[in-house]
Amino acid sequence: MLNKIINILFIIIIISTFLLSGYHTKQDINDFAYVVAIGVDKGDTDDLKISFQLAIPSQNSSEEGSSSDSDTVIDTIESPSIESGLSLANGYISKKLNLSHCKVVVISEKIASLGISDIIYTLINNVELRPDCNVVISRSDAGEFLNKSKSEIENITAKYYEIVATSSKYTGFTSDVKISDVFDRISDTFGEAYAILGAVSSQGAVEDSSSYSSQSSSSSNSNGGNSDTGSSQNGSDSSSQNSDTSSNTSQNSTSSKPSADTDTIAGETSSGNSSSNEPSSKIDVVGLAVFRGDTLAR
Amino acid sequence: MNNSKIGNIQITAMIITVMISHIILNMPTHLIATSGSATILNLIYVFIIALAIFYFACKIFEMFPGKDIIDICGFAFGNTCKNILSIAVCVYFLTISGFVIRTFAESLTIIYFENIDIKIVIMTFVIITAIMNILGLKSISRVSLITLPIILIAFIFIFISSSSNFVPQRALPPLGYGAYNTFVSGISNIFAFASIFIAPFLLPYIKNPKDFKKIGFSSLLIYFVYLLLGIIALLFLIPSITSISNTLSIYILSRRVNFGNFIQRIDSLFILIWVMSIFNYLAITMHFTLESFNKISKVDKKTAISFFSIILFIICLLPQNIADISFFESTIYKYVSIIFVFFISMFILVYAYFKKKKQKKGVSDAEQDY
Repeated sequence: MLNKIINILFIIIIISTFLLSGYHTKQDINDFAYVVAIGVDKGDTDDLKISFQLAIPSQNSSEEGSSSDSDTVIDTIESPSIESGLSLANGYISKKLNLSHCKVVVISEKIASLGISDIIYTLINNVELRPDCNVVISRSDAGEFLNKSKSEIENITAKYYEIVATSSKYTGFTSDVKISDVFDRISDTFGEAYAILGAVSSQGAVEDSSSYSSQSSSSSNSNGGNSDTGSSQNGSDSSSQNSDTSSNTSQNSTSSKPSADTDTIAGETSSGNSSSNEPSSKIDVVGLAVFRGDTLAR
Repeated sequence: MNNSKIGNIQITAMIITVMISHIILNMPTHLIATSGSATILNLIYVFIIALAIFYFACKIFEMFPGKDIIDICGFAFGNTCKNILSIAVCVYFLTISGFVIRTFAESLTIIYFENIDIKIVIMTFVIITAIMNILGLKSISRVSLITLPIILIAFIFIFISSSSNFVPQRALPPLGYGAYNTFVSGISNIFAFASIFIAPFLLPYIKNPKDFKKIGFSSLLIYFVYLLLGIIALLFLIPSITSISNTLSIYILSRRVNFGNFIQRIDSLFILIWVMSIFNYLAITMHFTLESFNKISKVDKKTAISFFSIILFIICLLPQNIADISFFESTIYKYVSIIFVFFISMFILVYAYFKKKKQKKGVSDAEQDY
């Protein structure tokens, strides 16, 4: 009798668990909006302005990829934190945001100078985001950086982000800095963190808003010898030298100018609606940004 | 319960499976939280102490061939204490199994099954445990023998693939939070070896009881090596592992495994291997729960399995959130296992040893007089 009661109880528990818990959801690949890049800026109305660069799968898979049709779309949202930004974005985007294919996190210099540990800690704790996602500190706005991140020789933006950072294998002007490296170095007590330094430059513009390249070209003559320290792996030993990041960028950006024409380091961009009269903008990977603690060293 | 003998290698595999499952859960993280950068030194220190304790325990078990600790308690203190210890062992194994299931299920829910109710995941573990126990200890031992090499190779693979990013400076300062924390209060880290408690329960299944020492020492040594590898990997690779959210620490390590562009995100493969390990662990602990219960009551095997499966499911649902689980792992399990495994069990063994010695002396005196 007791055996029967216990067995019946067991079966009731199993059945009620399956019926009452709503396990019948399923998700397939088309239910997600894949974020290929995240940009973090200082917000106007809130703490952060987060830009999500979302992949458009139909553009990625089309064989005749038109260069004027972008394979990504950028959504920008203001929120107090990244997690709340993701939640807010999920509220109006039809698909659920998925960070599994996020290749780069771009943080603007303004935010970096205030401290990036909160951002890095939030992202490293996200189980979707890969630890080998690159971190770029952008001299311009992160949203603008993402907007200009288009390559004429590479149709797929995610692939482009992946390849650009790995160019460190055959060029000494940058380093393949992953978010796991940044997190580890922020937490370490014997070294400083560093990240890829990038920017948007305009060629032939009357008002050169991101004029680091013109500034750097004038200063490159006087600061010619610091590129090696800019690429130093151990920031603590050379942090005082590296704190002058503009001098680091000078050598690199000057050297990168000729190569920019050949599109080896940075992608030449054409925004979808740019007219022939507007100056072309491009992103440059210009060196390394070094941190003191979790704030950008000056 | 069927007391047929099992081979030495299978018994060793079962003991190691039980011990190594704690590495998969957050054992290395809790050790590092206590000792900091001195965890390696501390681990070697507590390992030596655990070996010494196990050696003394083996010497006492030699006087009681084929008997487990509950039988020895019955000899030492009588049937009442034997029954109390049986219930205590049942509660101990069930509680730990329940929290193991809950910890692993929570991690699986966070990582993969966001939209699935955790009760489903828990129920899967409970049902599999029940089925494995219906099939018997021999089946469980064979499964352990098959899955253990896979688990061990997976660990080595994770260690080797992450070794290129090791920064040995993270093991400095060598004494961590100080000599006192490393060698005095750090003794509490001996709870890492508390899972050897399963070994005496396997004594009745060993063909030759004299092999128990060899089995125990080899299990302890292999577990120590793997725990050390896990701690080295976490310490050298991730500087503040304790500040990362409470998912499986070895999983966080496995996420960093990638070879080029092709082999990336293979952590799901490791999760599958660890799921097998947890199933084995639960099956073995449930078996000895049933066996301990069987010493005080003769209940039908399937009824007992159903009953304890329900109890296990209820225990799994007790923690309200991940903070409760973390508290249990870092505090309750630590001190309960130290008291239960190293104090109460050793007290029982030592008392039984002296009682046996006195008995033998009494017998030899009587023979001499005669």
